[in-house]
Parts: sequence; C-alpha cells; structure tokens
Amino acid sequence: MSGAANTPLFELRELRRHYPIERGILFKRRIGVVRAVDGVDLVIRRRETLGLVGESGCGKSTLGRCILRLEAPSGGRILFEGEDLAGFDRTAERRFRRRVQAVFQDPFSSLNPRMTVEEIVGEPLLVHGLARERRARLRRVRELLELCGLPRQLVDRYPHEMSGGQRQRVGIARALALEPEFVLCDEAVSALDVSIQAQIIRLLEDLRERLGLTYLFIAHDLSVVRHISHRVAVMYLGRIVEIADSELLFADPRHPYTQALLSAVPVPDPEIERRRPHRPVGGEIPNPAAPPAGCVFHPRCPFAEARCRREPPVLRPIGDRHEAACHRLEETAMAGPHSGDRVADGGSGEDLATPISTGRAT
Amino acid sequence: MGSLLEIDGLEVTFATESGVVPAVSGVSLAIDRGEMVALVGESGSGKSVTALAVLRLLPEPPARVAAGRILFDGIDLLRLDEEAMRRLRGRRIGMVFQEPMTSLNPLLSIGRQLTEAMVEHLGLGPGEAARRAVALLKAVGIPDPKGRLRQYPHQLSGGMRQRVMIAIALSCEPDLVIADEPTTALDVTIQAQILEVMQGLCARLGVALLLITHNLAIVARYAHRVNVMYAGRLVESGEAVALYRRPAHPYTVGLLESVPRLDRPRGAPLEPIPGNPPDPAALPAGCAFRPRCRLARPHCGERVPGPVEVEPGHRSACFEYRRLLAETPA
Repeated sequence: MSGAANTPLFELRELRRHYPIERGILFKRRIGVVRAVDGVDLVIRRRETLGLVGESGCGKSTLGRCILRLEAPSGGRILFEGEDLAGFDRTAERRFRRRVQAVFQDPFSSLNPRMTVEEIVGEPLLVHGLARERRARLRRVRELLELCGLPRQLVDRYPHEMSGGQRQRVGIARALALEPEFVLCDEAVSALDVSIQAQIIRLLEDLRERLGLTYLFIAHDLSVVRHISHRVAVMYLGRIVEIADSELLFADPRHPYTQALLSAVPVPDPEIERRRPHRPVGGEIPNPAAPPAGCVFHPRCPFAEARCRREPPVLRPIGDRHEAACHRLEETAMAGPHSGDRVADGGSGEDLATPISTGRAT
Repeated sequence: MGSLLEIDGLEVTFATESGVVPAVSGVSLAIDRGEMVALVGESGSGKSVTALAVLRLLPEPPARVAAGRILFDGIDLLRLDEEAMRRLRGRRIGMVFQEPMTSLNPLLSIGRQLTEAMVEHLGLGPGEAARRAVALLKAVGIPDPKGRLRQYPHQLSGGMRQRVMIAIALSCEPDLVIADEPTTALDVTIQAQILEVMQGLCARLGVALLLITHNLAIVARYAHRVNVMYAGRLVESGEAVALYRRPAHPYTVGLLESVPRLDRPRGAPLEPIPGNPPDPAALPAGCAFRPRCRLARPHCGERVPGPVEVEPGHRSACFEYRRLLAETPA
C-alpha cells in the first residue's frame, strides 16, 4: 500500500456528479441535468479535519457520498492514497470499506431500531469477520462504548431507550469499530441540542487526537466548522468557491459568498449584534438544474460585473494557503478585512458585517 | 395600563403512559405592546408548550392547563370559548411556525390563503383583500407578488414560504405575533433575511413579537427581553443586554459556553454542560438543573428555587447566583 506520508489520503480531481432529470414512464427522456457536484478539485490530508460548508443543495453531501463510494462520479476521479477508486477490485474495495467510515446527522434514523447497541456496534466486526466469537465481540463493543463516553451497561439497550446524544455516541462507536483512518461526519452534530452538541464536538476532537483520525466535516453551521476544522472549503452550487486554513478563511474571507455567509451568522451578544449593520445578501440559491451562466454566484453578488456573467471563475491562489474562485478578488479584499475584525479580537464589533448590499428580491 | 400579554403561574401537564408529567411549571412572563420578547430553551424545555397554551392550541387531552392565568389585553384567554378564541387567533394574534409547509394548505393558492383571514376577520371584499395581499407579499420581500398569488406552496422555496407565513400572520394587523422557531429549518443567509423582514415589519406596524427559539445568537439582535427555560421552568429572565453581559443562572452560562462563536478567537475549547436534560417524568428533587450544575450545593436538592431579582428587571431562579456573579465582575 502506498502509505507515504506525503500522499494525501484523498484527492479529488475534476469530480462531477450529475443527475439526469427524466420525464415519461414508458419512454424516458432526459429533459435536463442537475449538476450536484460540478468539477471539484480537493485534497484531504492525513490527520487533518477538513470542513466543508455551504447551504442546502450546494452539493456537499453528494460530494461526501462520492468519497464513501455510495455514489459513482459522473466525471473526474477520486484517488485514495494515490489510487483511483474506480479501479478497485473486491479486495481493495473491502479494505477501503474498513478504513473509511461515516457518521450521519440523525442518529435515530441511521440506527436500526430493532437492534440492540451490542448488535449495532458489533455488526461491522461481524461483517468483516473480525471478532467472530460473541464474547470477543462483546468485549470489543464495551471498549468502543467506553471510548465514546458511554456506560458499558448500555449494550442491551435499543435506540429508542436512549437520548439523542447517546444515540450519536453509539453511531460514532459503530463507525470506529473497524479502526478506520477516515471518518466522514455529515451534519453529525446538527440535530442535537446545543448543550449536547458541545459534548459530541469535544468527543470527536478527543477521538481525533487519540486515534489519529482524518475527518471530512460537512456542516452548515459555520461557527462549529470553524471551531473543529484545520482547513475549510466553501461550496456553492456544486463548486468550491473558497478554501483556506480555518483561521485565515474566517479572518479574511475573500469570496463574496463566503463574506455573505459569515455576515449572516449572528453572535450571542446583543451589544455586538445591535451595532453591526445587517444587510443580508439578497436572493436565493438558484436551481442547480439551471445554474446561472458565468459565475454561479453573480445574480446575488454585490461585486458582479459583465465578465462575471460570462466567464466562470476558477480557484486562484491568494497568498500562501488560501484560494478563491472570483474574478474580483482585488475588489473583495476591500470588504474582507472588515469581517476580519470580527474574528480578530471581537472587541469593538464596529466593523462586524461585510458590506454586502442587498441584491434583488428584498 | 397592563401588559399586552401576561402569563401568570402557568402550569401545563401531559397525561402519558408513565403518569401525569409536568411540561410547564409556574411560568410567568409579560409582553408589552410593540415589544420583542424571546423565549429560549432546548427541546423539551416547555417553550413551545407555553406558546401553544397562549394560542389555546394544546391537544387537550393529553395536555391540560392545570393552573395559571393568561391575560391578553385584559381578556382571560383560558376562559374564552372556542369560537371567541378562534376569532382572536389570526385576527389579533398571528402565528408563524417552524415548518411553513405543514402550516400552509398545499391545496390552496397563496392568494386564497392570504386573503381568507382578511375576508373573514376584517370583512374585506375580494378585490380589496387581493390588493392588500399584493402589498403584504411585497412588504415581506416576495418578488412578483401578483404572480405569486396564483401559485401553490410547493412552488415556493422554504424561505419564500416562510415569508408568506409572515404575511399571513400580519395580514389582519394583529397586536401580537408568536413565532416558534421561524428560521430553524432555513439556511443561514435565508434565516438572516427572514429575521430582518419579520423584525422590521413588526417594528413598523407596532406589533409585539414573541420569538421562541433554541438559538441564543439570533435572539441577541432582536429581543428586548429574554426568558430562558429549562425543564418546564423559567430559570432566568431579563433585559437582553444585561442578561448576556452577566448571565445569572448556571444553565444560561452553560448554554453560552457550549457554542463556538465567530467573534471569539478560534481554538478555545468548548465547555459543554455535562449530562443530559432530565426526563420530565422523573425530574430530580429541588432544582432540575442540579445534577448538571457545577455550583450545586446540598440545599439545591431540597427545594425548587424561585425567581429572585438579581438587579432591576433581571431575575434568576438559582440559590447560588451570587457565587456565579462573583465569577464575572460587573
């Protein structure tokens, strides 16, 4: 296995996932295509947490499902440790399944209600023939529960007998049963109450340190993503519009969409909130079956000019570890530092919002 | 002159398999005309049950209002007959719920749903109602309002549906709007748009707003006063600026420390509240927050703490609030 430390764990090249829209029952005709993921280049490094943010329909979950091989790409490639997923034989596939796991949003619907915790957490071991004997399996399940901060006695409980936080811990224990290196967390803490959410975030951070895990952390909550991620990628309508080290992205967002997202996140402090100008970005996310020409963000963008309506921008480096796909990065820099102030010290709060003007619709 | 809405000592119970369970216990709060008040709590805290009790929309049984009084502009809502209550809802109290898809009728056009209340409650003719409907849709920021009247809920996005709900809630110029998690299902940029629209219109029309949410951040911008609920009780209430500056209940402090914030340096570890919210069927004796509270002392398990004024207009239901405040110098 090519486990060289400098090979990224995952590398996506020009990844596309398009869904045909069909009409008719007997004679299906293709009447259009939804470009859920539309040309994504992305690297996931070993032991990093890469945050992936964006609003509903931006393609972030589809991207995650492609990485898990739950969906086949319609174009482009996914390399795992340098090897193309498309070329995997059954042995490689099996090994891949052990090393790559996932935790999803709703622990209640992702856990089988008729299975006990022992069966839920032990199932992957059974499927992969790792602890065939029940005693050994039970021992391992108890270890995993303990690792995830659950009492060992929970083994004979059913999902409905547990709280939401406990169920999510069970989901994490199950994901860790095969000692994976990579865990996809798709809105893994979104459905939880705030006090429980913080517990699960702490657990995920703790497990990452102890087990050397790599996470792709998909979420719509920007504060949570900033907190847990080393790097963050922002998606809009199937494309990555900006990517940078977490610190940098939130201190100096350069894509107008990132700036709009950040200025829309409220801060739990009335003294800051009331002083900062609120001009939420106008408009809504366009239909991904009929994306706007040129830059897909241009209809909502306060910086849009003629060129933005014609040419789709590509990711361009800004300084060292920061890229954004925007024709007008020189202009957005004027707006960027303002939103930087909010992160830098949280002091005055005077310059909190990026001056995103209202587009259409409002 | 009294407040527009006065809830006094409200108790709501639910009959369940494991007996009668308290959902709301001794909640008192008031909303003045034109005021924006927040009711904050996690799931199961009783915040939505409180709102449904005001609207008299609780399923009775299993729910039962066991005690308390709800005065709306001097009218005792709990004694009102169903017909009078129906006239009040929609006319003087507007409602906006989390999922507009379930509150809007999928079979009726937007125009029909928007004009229905105005025709019924305000006695407007169809032409006048339609004209007002267009103006309302425009006010809540819906493009092409005339065209939208003929559309059906499924033809609109989640954000647009919630705008329609706000238009309906405001259509009869109510005195109060109760909004229960109005933006929870929406994306963050849409959430910001909806809150601005709702707050702006309520302020312009002088409508009081009771905003129910689990999110302490969205409340910070809009609410004049904030009430925090835990396990069916009001644990803290006060003017927003004072409450956020110096929270006086360990649960409020815990909530604020559990969320990462964009205005703080990255890297500070989160301080989660340990444990789980209690099962309402088996509440701990004394203060319900005691098992999760780092300030708890033996006496916290003996009696339920009542609200104490920690500074003018700012109340906390905690025996140990002085120790808490000593940690955060004024």
